[in-house]
Amino acid sequence: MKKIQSIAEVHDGFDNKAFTPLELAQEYLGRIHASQLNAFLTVSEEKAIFQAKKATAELMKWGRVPREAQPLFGIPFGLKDNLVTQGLRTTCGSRILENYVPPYSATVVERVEKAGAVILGKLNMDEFAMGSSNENSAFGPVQHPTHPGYVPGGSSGGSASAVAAGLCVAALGSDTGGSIRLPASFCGVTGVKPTYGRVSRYGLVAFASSLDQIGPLTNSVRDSATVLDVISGADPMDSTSIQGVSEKYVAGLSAPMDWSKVRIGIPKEYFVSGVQAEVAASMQDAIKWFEKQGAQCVSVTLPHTSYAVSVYYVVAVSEASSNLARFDGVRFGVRPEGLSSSQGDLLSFYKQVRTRFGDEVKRRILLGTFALSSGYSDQYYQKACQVRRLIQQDFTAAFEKVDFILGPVAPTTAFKLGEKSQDPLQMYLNDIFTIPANLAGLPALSVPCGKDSAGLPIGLHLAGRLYSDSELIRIADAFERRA
Amino acid sequence: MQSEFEAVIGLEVHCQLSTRSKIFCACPARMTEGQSVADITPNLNTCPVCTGQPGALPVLNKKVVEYAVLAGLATHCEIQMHSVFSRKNYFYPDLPKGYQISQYDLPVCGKGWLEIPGGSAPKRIGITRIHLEEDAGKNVHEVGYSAVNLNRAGVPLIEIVSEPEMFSAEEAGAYLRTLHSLVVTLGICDGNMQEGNFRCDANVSVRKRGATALGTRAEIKNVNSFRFIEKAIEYEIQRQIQVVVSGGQVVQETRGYDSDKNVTLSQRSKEEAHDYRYFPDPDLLPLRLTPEWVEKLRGALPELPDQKRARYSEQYKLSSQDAGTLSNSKSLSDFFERTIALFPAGDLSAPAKAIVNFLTGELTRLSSEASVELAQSKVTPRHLADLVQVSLSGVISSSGAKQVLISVWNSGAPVDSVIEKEGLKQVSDVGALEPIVQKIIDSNPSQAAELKAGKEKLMSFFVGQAMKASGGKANPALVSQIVKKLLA
Amino acid sequence: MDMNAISRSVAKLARLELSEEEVTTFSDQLKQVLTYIDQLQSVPESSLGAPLYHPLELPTLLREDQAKTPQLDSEGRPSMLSAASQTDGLIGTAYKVPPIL
Repeated sequence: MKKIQSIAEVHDGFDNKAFTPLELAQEYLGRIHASQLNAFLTVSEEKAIFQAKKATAELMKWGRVPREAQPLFGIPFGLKDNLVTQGLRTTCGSRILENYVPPYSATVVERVEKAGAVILGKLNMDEFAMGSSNENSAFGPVQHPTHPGYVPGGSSGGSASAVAAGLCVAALGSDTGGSIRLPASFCGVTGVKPTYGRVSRYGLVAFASSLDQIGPLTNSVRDSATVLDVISGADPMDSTSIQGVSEKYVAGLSAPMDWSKVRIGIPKEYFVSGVQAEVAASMQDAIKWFEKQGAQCVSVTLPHTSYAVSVYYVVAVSEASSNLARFDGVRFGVRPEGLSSSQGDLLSFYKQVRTRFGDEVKRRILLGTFALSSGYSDQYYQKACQVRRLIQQDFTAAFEKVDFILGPVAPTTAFKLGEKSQDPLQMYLNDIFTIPANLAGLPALSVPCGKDSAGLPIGLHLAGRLYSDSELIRIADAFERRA
Repeated sequence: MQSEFEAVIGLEVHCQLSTRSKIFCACPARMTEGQSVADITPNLNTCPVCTGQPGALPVLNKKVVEYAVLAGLATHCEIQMHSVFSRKNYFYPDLPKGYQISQYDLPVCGKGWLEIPGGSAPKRIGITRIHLEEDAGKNVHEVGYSAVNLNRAGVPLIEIVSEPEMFSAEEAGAYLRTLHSLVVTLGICDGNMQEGNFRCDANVSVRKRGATALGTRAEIKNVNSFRFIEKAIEYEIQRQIQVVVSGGQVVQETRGYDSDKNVTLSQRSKEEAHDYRYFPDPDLLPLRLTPEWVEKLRGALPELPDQKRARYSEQYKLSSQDAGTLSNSKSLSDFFERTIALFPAGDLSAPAKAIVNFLTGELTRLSSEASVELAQSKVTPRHLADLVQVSLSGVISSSGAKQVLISVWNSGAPVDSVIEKEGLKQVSDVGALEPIVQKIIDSNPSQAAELKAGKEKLMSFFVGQAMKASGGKANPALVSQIVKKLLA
Repeated sequence: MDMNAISRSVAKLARLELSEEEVTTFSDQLKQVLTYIDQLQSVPESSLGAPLYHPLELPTLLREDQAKTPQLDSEGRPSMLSAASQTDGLIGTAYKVPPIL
């Protein structure tokens, strides 16, 4: 069986009776068990087999894949472990939720299941999605799919690595400051962060609520479009999901591109020293290709880019410090045993529970608590939100001239495990090019655009106006099919 | 000595809104009649949202917004077209998310006022703001552990904050009664204080009379009856005066009220100062109202107590005291309206006055003694209307009327049959009364002479004697006519 | 700024226990991050306007007031309880915590 398959290839295989959904699920489960990547935290074998058997029976009955009603019919699928799954352990990569079996499922989980996906299990991640390398998982780092000893990127490192290694056909991740796009870039897959509010966050364990967005990681832009068609759209359970009719992403791909109308902005702030030469060269190749198609590529300025990391860290950790207050061991999660004999001190109970957070999480809770605290919140939280407005305005101004903004996903390709883990600030600076889209809520994606001399993948970052997800996906799809 | 001080009181009232569902999720906010969400099996009434499961998100209940706006309109508040939900961060086991969703710098209602009955004229008390928030759950403290019940977590609340503009416990009490009657009239709060539907924290301080700056205040928390709040405030005022007089300083602190001992007690000051780290809740976007929506709600306001009070004075010539008492109680004014409606149109001032007297006197006493709501008792507006009619026409005496009312309260029997059965009809027959009166005059010659000489006060003596002689059945008005005639 | 003292007081607010060693490590790291973040103070005051708290500047969603009776789990218990610690987390159907003074 072919190692990497697209959704269309799987469906053709079902139609041609090359394999059944059950055979396919068994094949992928076998690969997961044999894998050394540490991409999966929980394998839902029983559930997968059950779903695959059901799909196999349905296929027998209908003779053809019901592509319209179930766009993910029989697709081996992975979920980042911060998407809650009823009855299936959800850890967020944290010791504090080591035993958490949620009593409900995230809206996106219900939607992919209804669309026929076969859920193989839960994917490893940086604890509470806080990290850029996947080294912050309490359950050990995920390995790079092709380069042992390298990081897959984070925080959706399990999702990216699993898709790239053929351990699942498609996966969901979440992106707060680049957590889908960075690992997609490092692992050489496609990752999309939709416009904030396109996809319901109900059931996504919150890191920073005003930045978090769920999106797909897949082996092609088209597959991402298929997954987005399934997961996006208004949700009455999420006040911040955009109400109204959602776009049809796959349908949009069939319309021919009119390149003469495409204007691409190249922010001068993104092409500065510190960007790996091979990454910069790869960007130039991409720009040339777009120009060759007839698109206009022009220089734009996003003058407040240098503040983005600061704004991001203050906003993200402030929200996180509050979002993570619910992990108090009372209603769920791991708690100290022998409570009544623990000499009954509530304060020490809380502390014993919360000591299970990892160091990076603690660091961010401390910073966030500080940034919101009386006497400092004007200087940090409020100021950061004011500068966030300037960053948003940078984009508004740029999008008066161009339709898309192009740049690298990250300054470098994947780095070695342990290389940056002792220096939080260096790690934070990895996200410099991805963070601004989260701050402004813009749709953005990573699509593979080459490799460096070590063979490590390079990702192209494209961002669009609010709600322009469909157009963004169209040009990314065209770029991906350039060869 | 104490008169050189004055007390300043500000009140924070939490009203549970009587919506069907909680503020941010679809769990029921109230159970069937007479059952509180707190009473049912612990945590039965919970879902991912109100237990703060990871990933769960709040979605605002539209009705809650409408109720808050109604409260704001009824208290003349500035309704804010743009308001924001913020997180108030602190750890407590009954607070599932580690923060309470509340409103901080941009509440749904800004400044307003409420008129309370005062000595000679109504007094206006300023309202600072009204904001929306979610209720917490309940901790039950046991030996060796505490038990957390989240059935109540997420029940919608409005917090109504007054200006520090009340100067006595009685004023605070009047404010609370007026506000209580208002929210019950609006139909936005069940108003059951025992169940905590209507809760009050009082900020009390004292200062030298004439001073303008406020003294250090103590906050009295969670007192669950009007009477206790008044007593707690009164105690606290005296305590603070004592502290100041004896050269001490009032400490800013939270105090609880012990109703058995009638004292307020310092609640162990928290080991750390609170730092709630308010910030806008990123899970909820700003609440936007439209002028059309607000106007629609204004149109739906029922007649409010102050409007009712004015109408009662105008239409029935009730004293401002009577009109105030009636309009401040939904149950009394409802009963009044239903009773007065049974009288034919015309000048209704006499029956209205009589109805009020029965309602605020005997019926209130009977109802509180039996702990039975008037509306749930056996006495109907028909009973009361009949009773007023026979009283005004002199068929029965005022003491007889009381007796009838007690009888009706117990049995629910029609008024005329009670009068018949208990033989309470007044003797209004001149022929029957004259010999009795003559006999009294004969045996009290000196009093008769003095009365004749103009000492009018003695008339009541003769009426009293006649009542006694007739076993209470004599019509007093008739008796006095006969006395005058016989002495003429 | 005494970063160690700040770390201690912030840790207390956040209910995190830090050893003295951790206080030092975290304080150093926080100091480094704060030094970087302090670049925000260099943004000219004149260019700052209304804060942007959320990327969507839309009115919040409103839900109709319809109540839904919560479901029981297969054992007839309130369904949220399945997530609680089953060994020491419950007393009846209430969550159990150390005594609150």
